Amino acid sequence: MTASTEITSIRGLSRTFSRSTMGMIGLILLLAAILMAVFAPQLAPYDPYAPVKVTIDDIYAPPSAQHLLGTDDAAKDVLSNFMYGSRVSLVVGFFAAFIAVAIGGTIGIVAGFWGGKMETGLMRFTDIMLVIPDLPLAIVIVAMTKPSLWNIIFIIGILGWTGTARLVRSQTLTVKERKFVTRARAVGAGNSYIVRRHILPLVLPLMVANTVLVISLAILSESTLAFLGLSDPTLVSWGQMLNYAFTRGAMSAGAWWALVPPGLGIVWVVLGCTLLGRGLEEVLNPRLETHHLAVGKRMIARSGVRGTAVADVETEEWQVL
Amino acid sequence: MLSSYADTIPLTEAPILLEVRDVSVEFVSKQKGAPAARAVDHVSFALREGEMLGLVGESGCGKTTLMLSLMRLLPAAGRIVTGSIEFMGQDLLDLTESEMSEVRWRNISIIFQGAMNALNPVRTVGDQIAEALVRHGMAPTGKKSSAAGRVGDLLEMVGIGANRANQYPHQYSGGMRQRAMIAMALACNPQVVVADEPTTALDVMIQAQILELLDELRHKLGLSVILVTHDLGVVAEVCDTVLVMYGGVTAEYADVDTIFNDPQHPYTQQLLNAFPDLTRPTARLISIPGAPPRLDNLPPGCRFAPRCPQVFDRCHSEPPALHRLSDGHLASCHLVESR
Amino acid sequence: MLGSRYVLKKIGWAVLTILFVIVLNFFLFRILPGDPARSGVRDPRLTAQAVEAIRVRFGLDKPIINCFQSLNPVEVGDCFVNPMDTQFFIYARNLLQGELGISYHSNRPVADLLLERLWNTVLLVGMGQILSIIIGIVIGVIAAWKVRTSVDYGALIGGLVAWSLPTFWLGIILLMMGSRHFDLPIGGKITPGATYANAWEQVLDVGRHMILPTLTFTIVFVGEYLLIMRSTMVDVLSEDYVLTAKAKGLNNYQILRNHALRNSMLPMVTIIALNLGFTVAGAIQIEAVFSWPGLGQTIFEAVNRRDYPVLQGAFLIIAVAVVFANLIADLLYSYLDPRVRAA
Repeated sequence: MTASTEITSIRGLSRTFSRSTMGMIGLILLLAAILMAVFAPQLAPYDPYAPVKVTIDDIYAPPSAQHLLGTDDAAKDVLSNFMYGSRVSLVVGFFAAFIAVAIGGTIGIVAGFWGGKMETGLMRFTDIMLVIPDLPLAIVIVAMTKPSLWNIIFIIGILGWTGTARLVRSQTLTVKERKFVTRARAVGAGNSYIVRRHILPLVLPLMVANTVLVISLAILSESTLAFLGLSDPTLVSWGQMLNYAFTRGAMSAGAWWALVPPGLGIVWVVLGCTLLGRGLEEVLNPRLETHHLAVGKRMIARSGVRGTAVADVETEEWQVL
Repeated sequence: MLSSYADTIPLTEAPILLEVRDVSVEFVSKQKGAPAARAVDHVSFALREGEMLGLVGESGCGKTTLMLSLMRLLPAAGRIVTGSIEFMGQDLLDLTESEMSEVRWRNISIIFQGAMNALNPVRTVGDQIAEALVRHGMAPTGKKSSAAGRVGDLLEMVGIGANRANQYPHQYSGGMRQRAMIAMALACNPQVVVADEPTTALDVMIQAQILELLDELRHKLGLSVILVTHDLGVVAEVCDTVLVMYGGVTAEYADVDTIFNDPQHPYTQQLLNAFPDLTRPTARLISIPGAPPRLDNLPPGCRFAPRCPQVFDRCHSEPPALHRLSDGHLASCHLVESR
Repeated sequence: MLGSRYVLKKIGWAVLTILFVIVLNFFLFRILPGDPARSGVRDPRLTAQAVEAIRVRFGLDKPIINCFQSLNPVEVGDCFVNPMDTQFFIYARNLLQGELGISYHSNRPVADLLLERLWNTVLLVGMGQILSIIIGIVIGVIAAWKVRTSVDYGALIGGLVAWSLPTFWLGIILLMMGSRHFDLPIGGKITPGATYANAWEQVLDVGRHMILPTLTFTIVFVGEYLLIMRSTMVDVLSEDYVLTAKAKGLNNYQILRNHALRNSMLPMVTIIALNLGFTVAGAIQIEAVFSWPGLGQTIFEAVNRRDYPVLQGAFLIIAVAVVFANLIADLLYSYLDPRVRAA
């Protein structure tokens, strides 16, 4: 594969992607969330980590000019917490997904490329891990270790690779049979060279699309752990905001402003990743979205019936038959 | 003066059963504003009782699309934009969808290529044949079980033991599956059977057996058959008339002897050159240099011009009309005119 | 006739997976820093005798397994001890006798504690699964049938949004709306202190408590199932045998019923089974929100009390249940698909 064909193909892919409404909406949602997370200190009206003097009226104060989304159980500004909270979701999502895809991708490529006993062993292991329920295991491990940000990233990462491993393996198997790979092998190219030069470039795009989907799963896992009380106590996150609000009486106080925004934040980012991931998959692996029962109502759209025009060779006359 | 297009080929005096007149089919594009691709362009032919018509051409020349139009089974993007399809005097394109569904299988049935996928893998073969009988009121009590006798007879007729009706498609060999498809196609005593490349993906021995069976059954049951194939050797063996298609248009249409002895279109001539031994059905694919035109990018003149060995200037600018020669056969080539 | 080799193979895999879970459950918690018994032993308030008593009671004086006295910190030990006298085999033996340890919080056997709550979870998950599978399949089939129409796009968008909802948050929102506007109970399985004149009244009360949790469960999983069903169905309806069925003169309804549904149910069975892990995750969140007295709520409480034996026991029970459900799905698959049946 030469560099120029790669560039044109990437250009072609991005053009196809820009036509995918779903993918573009996802990209915009995700970019907006990233911008909010990066510029949270500039955007947020208050600093969630600064101590506040609490009076009873400040707890679960409804939205007002000072606090556009009201305050929470500790009299903190919900809007500021919301903006800062996006940072944990995105950091955990990106890093955990990176770990998961790195593990899954390695296992998938090794199993798919080397085959044999290695493949059987790795895929059996993957199948076992696939069946074991992630969340209860993650809960136990996080509860027993310290629920620090990096612990949570690491645990979500090492439990979330099974889907990627299966996907990458099947893609590797397809790529392996391509002409230029068998040719490279015949010429005597080493395994690691073939993987680097031929397999990886063709598996990578699919892995990228998969990563985006794994990010959404990781974000959901992180927020669930946080809601159950397993979050880094030194950092504000959406799941943790919900945990505090839920366990500390926001419901009975009728403080919907403490409950609604963090959840919408999670939906925003997860939906963004899901749409983007599906949009990317659609570009890489276009499916014909039609079938035999999807018959157009206008199958017969005749503009009129005429006969077939035939020219007689001998008489040179036209006839319509 | 000829009264009908079908009269151009007065092979037999048998009455005309199916007359396809000036049919064009387009596929609308997914992208808005893009022009529709014309897969079949003003094609006509006629099928008489007891006759076998060979429909010949390379892949992608519109053969299957034309056959699916006969049964109004085009995919969602397909549109029949001109013409008529008259079966026993009734234009099938005028029927409602439910009237058409009565005609399907009862009057016109189809054998698809690749019987592995054309049979439902999770239902028994007998069950799938019985389903057609029940649908068209040919099971005595209207229940599948009452059709068992007829299902057994049909399977026996194509050389499969009646006792195998309860087996699933994966328990059949490739050739047996195609036989089962033939049995299913004949279940409701249709007048017309369309066989769309019925021997693709079978080995040569089995191919010959299947074709022999098809030929034998059509004589026995007086069927009219349209055999879609890219194999002229097969056509020589069993067909009465031949329609050669190229790039969605009629290249040549005549009775089988004329086609083989006096081919007028350079495409037909090249197809014949690819088969030196016509007495032997062969599995070899047609090998003419180049590829057929893409339907969304047709050449402005004759569609065969880019690959034609006898091409001249006019071919690139002006599409040839369909010409009738003195012996009654039709060809669309500028060369015919000058002869 | 079920292919007995297939069945045996699947059962073998299930057993192997459960063994793996047991080994994982044991060693993971001996390696991780928060080892339950050890941390208890380190409590400075305990006297030396009390520490020793706890060590003996939990078998901590014994080596973890042959050659290893302890794994955190790693301490090499005697390789020639009687294997039956190591912590691992004592744990395995206890497990076989149905013992999962003692809860720190309530001092009761973990097995009893979990089993009495297991059925509540089964009730909730069963109800939610049945509803979401049926509704998901129906919407998925309609969306696939009407592919690329506004019906299809609506279902697709709805499904994606439902999929993206955090289960616990949807639960909270529904709880807020349901208790405020529809006078539905805010949690639990029964009204506290209620007395019932007859069994029917009790069923009604439980039913009222189940409405919101079941609704939450259904919404989240309908999204997932409809997306899967839609794409599976589109694939099946693109198969050649569907075209054959249409050529035979069958109408759309007959084709869907006789050809498409059964064929698309095959991949669905596998996918539903593989998604059981998510189902469990959903149940944990819903029970935590609605105080539904099942395994999930037990886990939620145990997390906050750092009641490790309960967490480990719950993980083990859930993992075994999921493996078992997967086995059932595999066997069901072989029943539905003649190709597997014959193998």
